[in-house]
Amino acid sequence: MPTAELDRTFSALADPTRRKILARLAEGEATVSELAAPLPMSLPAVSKHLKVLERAGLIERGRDAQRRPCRLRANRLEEAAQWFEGYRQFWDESFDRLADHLDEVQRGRH
Amino acid sequence: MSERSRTTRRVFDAPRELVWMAWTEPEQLARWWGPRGLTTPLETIEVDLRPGGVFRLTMVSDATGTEFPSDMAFTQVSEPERLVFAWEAQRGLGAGQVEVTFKDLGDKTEVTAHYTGLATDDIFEASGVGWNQQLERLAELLAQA
Repeated sequence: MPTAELDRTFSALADPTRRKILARLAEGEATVSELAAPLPMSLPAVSKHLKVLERAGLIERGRDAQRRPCRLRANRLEEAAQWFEGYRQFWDESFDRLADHLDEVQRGRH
Repeated sequence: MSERSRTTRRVFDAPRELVWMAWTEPEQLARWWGPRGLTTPLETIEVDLRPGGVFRLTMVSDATGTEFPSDMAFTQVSEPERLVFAWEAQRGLGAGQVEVTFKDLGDKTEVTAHYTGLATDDIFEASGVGWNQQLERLAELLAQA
């Protein structure tokens, strides 16, 4: 995934309201009003969040002009989760390998 | 965006000079750099150990052969206790730096890798417990779909 897209994905995920929306969409598609119902904000405010999520590739909107239901785009979320996990993994596993390497180096010395 | 950081620390059962060499000699870096499943071939590693000097390497996926080049530069080299390298935004990775400190504990050495992200720092805000739980839940739901 290109850097700019990944940046958009993560800044979209950084907002608690947007994560609530994603959690709701994980249960199935929903319209803007359905998504707005449990949230303490106006429809336009929710629409704004949906635009951010759409630009970030995390959701897509249906073609039906009346309802335009929102759906989660699972791939993007998985890629984002993998990337995030990668950070932790990089150092944990590099350090494991470094420990093994240092053992070998020292055994070679004795 | 504000800076976000993350620290990984570990005590290695080796004296500090050895650990420093493992971090600064290409022949040794090739033996351990990168997570499991990735190899960093010696011929891809370039270490110019001075402030402003390049620190380049390419990790290669053992499974697919996919290459992950890293183009970094040293910003601080204080043998044998501190090494700082930084990079501009590249391939899905925001600009950032890692400050590595080597603490002499006699026969052992405590290594601290302190990461500071400069561009994609939202990720760290998102890394709180609440976010993890939500994302895990989403991931579970997605796995079932």
